[in-house]
Amino acid sequence: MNREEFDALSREVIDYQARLSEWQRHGRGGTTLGEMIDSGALAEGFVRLVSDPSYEQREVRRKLKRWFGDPEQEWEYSRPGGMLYNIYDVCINLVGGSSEDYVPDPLAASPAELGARAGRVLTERKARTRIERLRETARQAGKLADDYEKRLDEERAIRPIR
Amino acid sequence: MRRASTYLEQQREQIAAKEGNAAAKEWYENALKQRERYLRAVADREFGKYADKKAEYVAEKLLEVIGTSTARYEDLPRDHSPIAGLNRFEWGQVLAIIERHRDEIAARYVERFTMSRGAKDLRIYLTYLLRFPQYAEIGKLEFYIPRLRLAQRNLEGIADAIEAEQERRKGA
Repeated sequence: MNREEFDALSREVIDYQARLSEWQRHGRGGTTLGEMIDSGALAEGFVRLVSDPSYEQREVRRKLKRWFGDPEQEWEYSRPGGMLYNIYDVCINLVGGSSEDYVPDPLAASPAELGARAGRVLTERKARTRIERLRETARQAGKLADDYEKRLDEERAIRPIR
Repeated sequence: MRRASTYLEQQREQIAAKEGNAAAKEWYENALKQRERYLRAVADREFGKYADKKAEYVAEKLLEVIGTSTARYEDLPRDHSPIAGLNRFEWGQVLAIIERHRDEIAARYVERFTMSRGAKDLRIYLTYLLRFPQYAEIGKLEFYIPRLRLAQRNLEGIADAIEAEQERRKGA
């Protein structure tokens, strides 16, 4: 089979695939995914979904619970809740952990000691990238804490607790 | 060793109760011989691996104990060798290997905080959460704020310490 023959066969096969697919749809009803994508209905549906404030609210609360735990469900994910305390994940909040809780040796050290130890091993270039990322994440966490504090202050100003 | 022999003794008592003392004695002697053979094979393998690496061998064994028991690095003496077969210089080598190992583990944790999939996800989700601070439950904010501040302090502390160590290395 030369290239022309192959291309001709390929076209025929693709046509047949489309016809076969249509036949299946007409035989069984419903709408194909391709038709939904072509009509734009799927994209519109997604846009509608993600612009719905209740969807955003649900997602925000789910993510907060996943990363930082839930005061009402301390048993979920890990003690005392959230991935930041999960020893098999980004366990940054376990650094400098107290001796009462079990934390592995490197995490029991203070952030300063952990960083100094890592700094002895990392090359200059690697260290630069890691420092950038650590600072970026720290800045994000700090900014979020600031936003939440601001919101809390605003809420308290509106409805003072007596 | 004591635990294994205790286990074997327990088994011997069970066999004696079921099949009599003679059978138990025969089983126990065989079990001891098998154990001896196993321990000799382990010793041979370790000798082949560490024949000319005395400090590495001791460091490996100590790391094994520290990793699997309540012993900690701080329990190892700094000023004298607790092992009769090692002089002070060799003990210093052992401690240096252990220190290097600890540094490498710390670097691995830093990798986890910065380059792992989880760390990338954390940055993505924090960006997402920053877009919608109004949707967090007001009643839980007091729970989240100290956790966020702790994460911030820890991340900044590690970054500062790495930077300081790099500066020190440049200066040295």
